[in-house]
Amino acid sequence: MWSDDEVQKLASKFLCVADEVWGLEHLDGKGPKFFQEYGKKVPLDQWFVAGTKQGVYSMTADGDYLGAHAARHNKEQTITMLTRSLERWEQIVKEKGLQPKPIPRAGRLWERDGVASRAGGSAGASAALILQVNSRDLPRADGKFAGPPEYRTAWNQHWLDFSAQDVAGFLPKNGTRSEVPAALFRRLAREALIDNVRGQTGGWPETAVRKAALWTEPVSTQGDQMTVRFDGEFRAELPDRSYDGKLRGKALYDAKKKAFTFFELVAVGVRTGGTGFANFRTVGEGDTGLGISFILEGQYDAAAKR
Amino acid sequence: MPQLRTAALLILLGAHAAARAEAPGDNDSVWVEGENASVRHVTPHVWYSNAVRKDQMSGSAWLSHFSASEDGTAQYDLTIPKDGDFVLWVRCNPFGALSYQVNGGTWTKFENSKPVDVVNIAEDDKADLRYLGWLRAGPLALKQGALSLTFKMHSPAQRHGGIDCFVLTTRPYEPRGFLKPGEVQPPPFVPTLTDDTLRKWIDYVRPSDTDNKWERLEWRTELGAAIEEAKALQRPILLWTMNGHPLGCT
Repeated sequence: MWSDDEVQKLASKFLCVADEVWGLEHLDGKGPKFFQEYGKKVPLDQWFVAGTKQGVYSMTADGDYLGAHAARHNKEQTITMLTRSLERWEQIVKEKGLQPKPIPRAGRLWERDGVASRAGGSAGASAALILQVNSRDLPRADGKFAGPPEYRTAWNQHWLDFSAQDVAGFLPKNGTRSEVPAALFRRLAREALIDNVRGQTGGWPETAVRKAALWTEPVSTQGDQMTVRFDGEFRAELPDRSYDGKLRGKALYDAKKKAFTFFELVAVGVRTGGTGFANFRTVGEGDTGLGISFILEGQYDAAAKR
Repeated sequence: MPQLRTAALLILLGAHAAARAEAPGDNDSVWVEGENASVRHVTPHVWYSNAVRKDQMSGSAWLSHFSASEDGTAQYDLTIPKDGDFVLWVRCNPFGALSYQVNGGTWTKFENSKPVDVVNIAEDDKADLRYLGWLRAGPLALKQGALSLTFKMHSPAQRHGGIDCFVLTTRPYEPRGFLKPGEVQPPPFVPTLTDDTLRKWIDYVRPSDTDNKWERLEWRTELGAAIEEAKALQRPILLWTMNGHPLGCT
């Protein structure tokens, strides 16, 4: 939705902020207090919706209400909310004689300090590798997709961070094909080989894992550059969901920098079940193919030049 | 709640067209579309009945009722293929009150505490009254031959209700969308990964340039820090909240 041109045109008038809702609703601090006070000004039917404060809200920098849409929202609802919010805002601009300034570029969530812990990061500033993780449904053999049409282009994204010790674990031992340490791969798999295409899904508990192995082998070495190949498999199951997939990948490791300069790993497999309303799977659509990719963010621009 | 508008009361008494019973190729099941009632006494509603995703319905249609004054009823004249104990599964609005009656007998209310395969059919995605799910009743000991099955929609709120389809079956049946007994979804396709296909599937899964346009909105990651910046920029704030940080999605 946020990539839609019409939504972008409207949203670009705002300082856009994404934040975690539980903390805003329940904790102390500047952001939570601001959000809670703003909530007192939101019409009741927009604030008390389906037991959640997840949603899209607009406000002045003083915390005055401009608009709100709690829970699920689609493109049309967002456009309506933003349009009405901007009408109210333009009135305030006139009344107060404001002169909105250009919005500076934002830093990245994971810059310098690694993936923030509240976004699931654990390596923090010592992160030696940050992988962008994406998930998306695979088409059926006939090219069609299961489920409601609005989800057919759905995808999701998050990041995983790894320490220098983890990075070494992805490299072949003694120059030969070897297994990536089980603890390392299981952490990756349990956190990322999940069906979050349409929304929230927790990771796999250790007890759900039925098989998990990732192998790494050297393909070639040129100076400080070593190319490695990955292959593996993963299966996890719980009473209400499962995933069974194969993995394959390739990466370029720079021994001088002690870092991967290129990394691509993909899992393809079958997902079943769901985790309730939050990930919006229905029984009726049946089991489907699920793909999950791991890359260094932005690497393909550089790769295209090689 | 949407504005309630009174829709015309549709009464088709005496329309004796038999409900279309679509057997899945055996004598164990009778599948019927909700909209094919022989006799109906329902009040459709412009919002409840029509602002819904009909592509999620069997036959792309349903029978629905939304009235402040009267219960809705729909009678289906069926032909039961054999004597047997038939389980009745109905794909309906599972959060309303729905009862059924066999051959003019006593009304039995569906137990709806554990509906199966519930989907939101609201055209605008709102979490309101517009849902479909499967409810189970029976087994019913039925005799081969003609049978009259009637449903009554009598929810406390606007006596609302809707029937997409129902099936009487002697076969083990796990409802999945509007798949009939014996039908299965096409199997999922899982590509074989090789060195040659790796890039293709990486490129398939990872976001395209179009997908990534959301980043152009220059999202800030903490509301607390953004307040002062918004003041300095003289800009309004657009806040997107989720369980788990939206930019490191759960």
